[in-house]
Amino acid sequence: MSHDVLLKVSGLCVNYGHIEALKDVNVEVRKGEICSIIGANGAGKSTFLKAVSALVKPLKGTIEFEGEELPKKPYKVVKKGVIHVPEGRRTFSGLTIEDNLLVGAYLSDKSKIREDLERQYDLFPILRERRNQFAGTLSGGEQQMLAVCRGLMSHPKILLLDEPSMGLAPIIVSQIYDIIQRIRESGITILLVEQNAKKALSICDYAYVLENGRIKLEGSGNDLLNSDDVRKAYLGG
Amino acid sequence: MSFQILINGISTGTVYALIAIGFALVFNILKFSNFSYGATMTASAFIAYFLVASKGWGLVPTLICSALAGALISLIGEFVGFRRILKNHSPSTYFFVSSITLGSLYEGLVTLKAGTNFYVYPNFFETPTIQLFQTVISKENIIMLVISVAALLALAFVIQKTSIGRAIRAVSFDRDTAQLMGINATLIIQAVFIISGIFGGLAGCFLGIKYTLTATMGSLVVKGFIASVIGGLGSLTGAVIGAMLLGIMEAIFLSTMGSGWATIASFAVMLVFLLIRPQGIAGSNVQEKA
Repeated sequence: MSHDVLLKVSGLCVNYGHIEALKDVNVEVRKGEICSIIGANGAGKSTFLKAVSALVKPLKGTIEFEGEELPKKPYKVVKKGVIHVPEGRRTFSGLTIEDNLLVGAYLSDKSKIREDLERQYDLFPILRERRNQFAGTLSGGEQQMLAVCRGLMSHPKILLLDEPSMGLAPIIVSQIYDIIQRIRESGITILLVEQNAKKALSICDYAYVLENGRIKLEGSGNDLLNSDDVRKAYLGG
Repeated sequence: MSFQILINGISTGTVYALIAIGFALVFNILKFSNFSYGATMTASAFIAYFLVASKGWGLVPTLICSALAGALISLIGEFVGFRRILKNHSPSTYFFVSSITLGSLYEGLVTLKAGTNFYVYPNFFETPTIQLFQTVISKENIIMLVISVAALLALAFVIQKTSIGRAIRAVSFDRDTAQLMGINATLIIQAVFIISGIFGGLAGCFLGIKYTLTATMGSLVVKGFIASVIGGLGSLTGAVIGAMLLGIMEAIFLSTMGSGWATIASFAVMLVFLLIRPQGIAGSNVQEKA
């Protein structure tokens, strides 16, 4: 069923100078699913997302979205409906929470902005309460929520999430993962990159294991959760 | 302090504010001090002098010409001097060297055309002063004050309330992430250089009116640098406050101790200020949490 493949990455190679960050990576994300890429620190996960959103330039390979090759400029990729929520939240700390969300809606239909804002505030009421405060005053978890909402403001078709659980308390991580599932239920495809393999595998439909820039394993979330290799390497035996 | 000194100080302060803002905008977005900014001011003021003022066209056309020239020079400078350095993620020393080189180039071009002579803008008003509350105030000072304030308010509105202003702030905070929001960072950087150039052009023209036009008048840009550092580098509000303080202080010193000592005294005060509060008036921005 190749027609429901939303994002198709083939033969992707990325180098940083002489270091090969990604080597011949093939990934397919089907429409409506949560797809995970797990792997250790430095495996190339973030680089993969950056290549998709055109923040880094691939050496080789193609990145197709809805059957067409994605543009080579980050802001043009956004226009196609591909939104990358970067690692470490990267909220604009000196902008208010509302301004952060409005920046997220930079390309959106301005007449619907109020509605879109309200939708995000309904998702995370804390953001409504603190809409006029600087984003830098939020806690790490709240900043992560803001980063996700900021990404949603442009009505993405696919959301690329880079380590949404990083540095957060387990209870906050669970909240974030609930939200990720709700976002998927609203019809947005999700590509989730995580070090937290257990969490990521437990909610995803399909997953890839990235090791030293290569895909080592792939399969359904459940299969990988039960795979010995994955258990030993990523789930603590 | 007499009303007249205050008005003079505020008027000088707003011109410094224009310089400081034009400087701070570029600093914010590219994180380097644009040392070609002074020569951009000089070149715009001279272009306006030769193309417009010397033909007797009046103040407003002269200002418009100077602002447009500033915008154009600034835009060309961005493309020639900084675009590739930014693209290659080169260290900020390259920006520093490139901006100094550009500045020397502009200054050289101005010297080529104007020599080392002094030029004076024609008198734009038949009666150069007006009487207000028993004080004599020059019309030029009032015009400078009004136009500078209008330009600063317009900028504040754009930066705070519009989509492009939010984009400028977002790119200033984090260029990569801003691009992930669909912002064309190159375009925003160009816009910032245009605004910075407009402010530089206006300031250059005002400095030419206040003092005289010389090929080296760009060195007055130092006042703007200082004002933006005093205000807290990166803070636009801080830059305006710093510039006003500097302008008023200079006016007071000028009337009490004469022009020679006034400059020395105001620099000395600024040095002491930076010793006590190196982060400037506005201080640093909210830090990001992990």
